[in-house]
Amino acid sequence: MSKENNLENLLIALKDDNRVIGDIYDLMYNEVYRYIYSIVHAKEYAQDLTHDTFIQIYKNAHLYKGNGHAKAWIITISRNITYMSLRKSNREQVVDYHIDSVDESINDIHDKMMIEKMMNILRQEEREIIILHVVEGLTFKEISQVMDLKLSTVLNKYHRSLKKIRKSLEE
Amino acid sequence: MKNKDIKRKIKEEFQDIHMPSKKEKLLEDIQFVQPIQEDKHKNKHFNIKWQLSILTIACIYIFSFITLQTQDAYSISFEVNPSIELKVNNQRRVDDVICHNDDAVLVLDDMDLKNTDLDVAVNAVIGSMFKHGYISEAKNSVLVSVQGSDQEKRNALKQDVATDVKDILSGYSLEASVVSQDYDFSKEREALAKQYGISVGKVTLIQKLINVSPNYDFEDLIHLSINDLNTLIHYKHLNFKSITIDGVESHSGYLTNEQVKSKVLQHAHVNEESVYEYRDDLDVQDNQLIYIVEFTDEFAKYHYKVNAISGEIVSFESEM
Repeated sequence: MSKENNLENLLIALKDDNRVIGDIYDLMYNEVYRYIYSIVHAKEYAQDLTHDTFIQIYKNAHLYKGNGHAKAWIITISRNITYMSLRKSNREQVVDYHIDSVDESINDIHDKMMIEKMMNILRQEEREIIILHVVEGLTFKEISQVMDLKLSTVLNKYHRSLKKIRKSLEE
Repeated sequence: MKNKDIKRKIKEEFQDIHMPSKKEKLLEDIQFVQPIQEDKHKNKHFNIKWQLSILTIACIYIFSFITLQTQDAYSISFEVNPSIELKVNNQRRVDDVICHNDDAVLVLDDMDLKNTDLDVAVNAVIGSMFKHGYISEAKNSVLVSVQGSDQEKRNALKQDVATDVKDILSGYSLEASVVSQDYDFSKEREALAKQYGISVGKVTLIQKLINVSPNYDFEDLIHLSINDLNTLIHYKHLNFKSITIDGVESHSGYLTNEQVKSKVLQHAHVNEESVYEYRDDLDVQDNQLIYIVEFTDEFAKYHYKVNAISGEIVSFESEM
């Protein structure tokens, strides 16, 4: 069974059996964390928001329609949680990305050249699209729904972002 | 670096980013969190309300659609003697064409005006009326009537069509007299139009004429041509708020006052020099325009009725 199918079944099961939240967490916590981290650029903060995301998943399992887009549904919740939190704390403008040397998982800045490029040359929205498609594997249609953008806008931004990165690497 | 390589590198780098699992904390915390339960009863109730709302909206939509179709569709009739009615939609395209008499069938010939733009249809109808001789120097009056519920829109449509008719005939070097009017739907007028086989526009014009000249009977006017009615309005100096007349009607098809005078004096064997009171007036009798003439000489007072077109003496009497 694929990861997506497994996630789908677990989310449906969560409506009647709240113990499966642990399995959902195991499957998705790193992906949720990476996505949130790419927005907030702070390890502790991203971890807290990841935690909050799974609380919301647990509380709102009854809202999942079982339409085969389980991962996109979870990403949507994590996105909403993140932006709501950023608005509340007004940290969106304050936090500036730098690769966190404290984070044991990113201990060599030279190994993260592409992330650095992305953070330097892409806008937040462009970064999100790249991460959601390339890293998280969401389809462009799912991304357009998660980010509430037109499909054509998502596609344009995606291709423009790749072009920017390529051009930057060539310089 | 190719796009494929860029994507692979991004994926690799991001997959290196991870956090320590905090599953135990989550499982602890959710003990104090109550999942929101789906309220099936509420949902059912909501569904019923939702269905009722949809039904209501659908009813309103259907009603509005029917109402709009009725209210916003226009009927534009052209009356000369041929009487042609165009049913026009909100986009000013012709939905239907109705011929109210045999002359109209002749004018339309094999023309298919359905789905054409209104201005194209007006051009075709008026052009064909002119080419078939129904509109000429002697009969230059055209009645344009617009029926619709929105007064502002139908008035604008009336002005546009009347201007078009005037311009089209001007293109044939004919100075037309365009009588234009607009009105709302009336069952009574529809019934009269059907009863007498004339257009609603002509019924309306006649009714307005009777309103200001109550001595006329409706049946006395129905067979008059539009040019006759236009001439009558002119002679009687009648003014209507809701009727616009652009251009002067032709009188070349009628006897002049001088011709009538000569005719009646000749008939009465009276010399013009001996007449000391002479008066004539254009009027209607039995669906004919007639001159009513009264004059006096030293022997008698004379009363004549003369057909304004044929010159036939309809009636005469004298009082000694």
